[in-house]
Amino acid sequence: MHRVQTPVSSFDARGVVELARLAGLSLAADDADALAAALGAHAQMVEPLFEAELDDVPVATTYDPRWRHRG
Amino acid sequence: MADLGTLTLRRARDLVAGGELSATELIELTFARIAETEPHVHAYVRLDEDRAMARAAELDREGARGALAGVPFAVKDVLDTAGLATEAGSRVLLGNVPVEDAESVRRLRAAGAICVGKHVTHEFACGQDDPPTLNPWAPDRYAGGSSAGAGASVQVGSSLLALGTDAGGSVRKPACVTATVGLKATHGRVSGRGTVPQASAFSLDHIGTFTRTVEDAAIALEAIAGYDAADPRSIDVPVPAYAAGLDQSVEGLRIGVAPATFRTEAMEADVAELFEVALAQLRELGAELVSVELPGFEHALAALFTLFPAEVAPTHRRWLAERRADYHERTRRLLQLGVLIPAEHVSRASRHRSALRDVAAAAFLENRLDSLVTPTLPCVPPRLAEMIPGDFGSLIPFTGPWNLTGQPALSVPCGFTPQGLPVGLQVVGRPFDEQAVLRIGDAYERATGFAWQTRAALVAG
Repeated sequence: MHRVQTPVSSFDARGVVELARLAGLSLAADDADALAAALGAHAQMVEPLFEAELDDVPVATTYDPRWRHRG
Repeated sequence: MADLGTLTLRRARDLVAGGELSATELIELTFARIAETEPHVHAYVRLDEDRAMARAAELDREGARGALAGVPFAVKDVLDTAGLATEAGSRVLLGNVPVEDAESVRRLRAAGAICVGKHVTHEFACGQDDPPTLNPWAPDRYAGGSSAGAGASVQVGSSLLALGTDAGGSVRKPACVTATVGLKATHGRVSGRGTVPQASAFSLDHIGTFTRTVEDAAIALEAIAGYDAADPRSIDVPVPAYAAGLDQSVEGLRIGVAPATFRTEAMEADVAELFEVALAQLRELGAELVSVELPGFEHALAALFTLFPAEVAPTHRRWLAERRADYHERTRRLLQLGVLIPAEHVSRASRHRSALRDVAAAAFLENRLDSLVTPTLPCVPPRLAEMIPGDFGSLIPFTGPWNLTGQPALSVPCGFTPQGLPVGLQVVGRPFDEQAVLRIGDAYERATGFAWQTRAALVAG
């Protein structure tokens, strides 16, 4: 199993404000620290998804046709 | 005179159809019940009494028609109701009055059901704030969310049917903790059109029902299911006569259990014990239990908690700038997070969802499963004072995965702990096979009778 680096693994308040600006979101100063912590926690939460073999998994948009058969 | 504390939707419908009770009498009883119970449960955010009474009188004058003629229902305050404010539990939407009904509401009205009001919801169905609804079984404990008012209301009989939305468990969870029946059908089975967009993660959200019995859930689903060409999520699959498929044995049905996935360390002993009893009861009823593995499901919530905020947040961007102070702080933070989540996280979560769908399909098909069962929640309703604000991840490890796969799932009461707290059994089915889910839930309910342990004496008690 290969390991893919999580693209953003740490955040600080200044970086979050800049990221928000790029996303078209203006942040109040008191939101930035909390969001930096939330983004860090989020990155930690999704770590297992970067450890799994998902690169070649196609994104499904509807139900697997196999469900139509009772098996 | 009918007692709303124990009346079922089907019995109410039959009483009105048979002329034993007028629609007007039933709606009067409902508002009397609301007046009695609201001080105890705070399930409603808004009533629609004048219009409900007028509609009941109209039905009585014209002769009650429709599969649900006269049945009182209420609606989570994230679903549009024409002419009645829909505020999604937020100051941001104060005074928002839709001109059209949500499609599910429209279908219930077309079947003759009468909307009596709107139920309390967490702000924008995000589960972050603290709504006022109290659990009828223990007012110091969690009443569920984000369809917070619906379970409590149906449990105490202040509505016989409630509509909610479920993006991670928001119908099954409140149903579980109030000992009511909660059903989310297959994603695409029930139109989601008319859900407040800012309260709905498009690919995860399901319209669901709260009822007192599984039979009532079948009757309600029949009324709201079906293709809606105006909802891009809607899938054109014929709607069977769900209620007619009930009252059958489960002899020979194959029911999966996945102990490696759905028996977390956090599962409370009382829940585990009642779940084991439920499995034994299903076996006694003739079902064959099959142990299966669901690799990857242990990380389902990482995908869910990425996709939910990422899907909901963009609809809030303008308000987050212009109406910042009108949001509950935790809701605002969740939505801001949703705007900032890296695209690679979203892509990864989407791929993980696809992988889970493959795993679920393989488990069901290779093992010829008709359904799979889990406890609905790993715990009893927690004490409000002991809950970590905004942290509901620990409550939905067993419900959330099925929002990712889109499969139908039902929560049916599965007994009470020695403290008298309700526990739920979740029955999951193949896509568009709500019939099997309802059949198993109905057989289990008839065998156990938990649906009849109600808080009817709440007011007197």
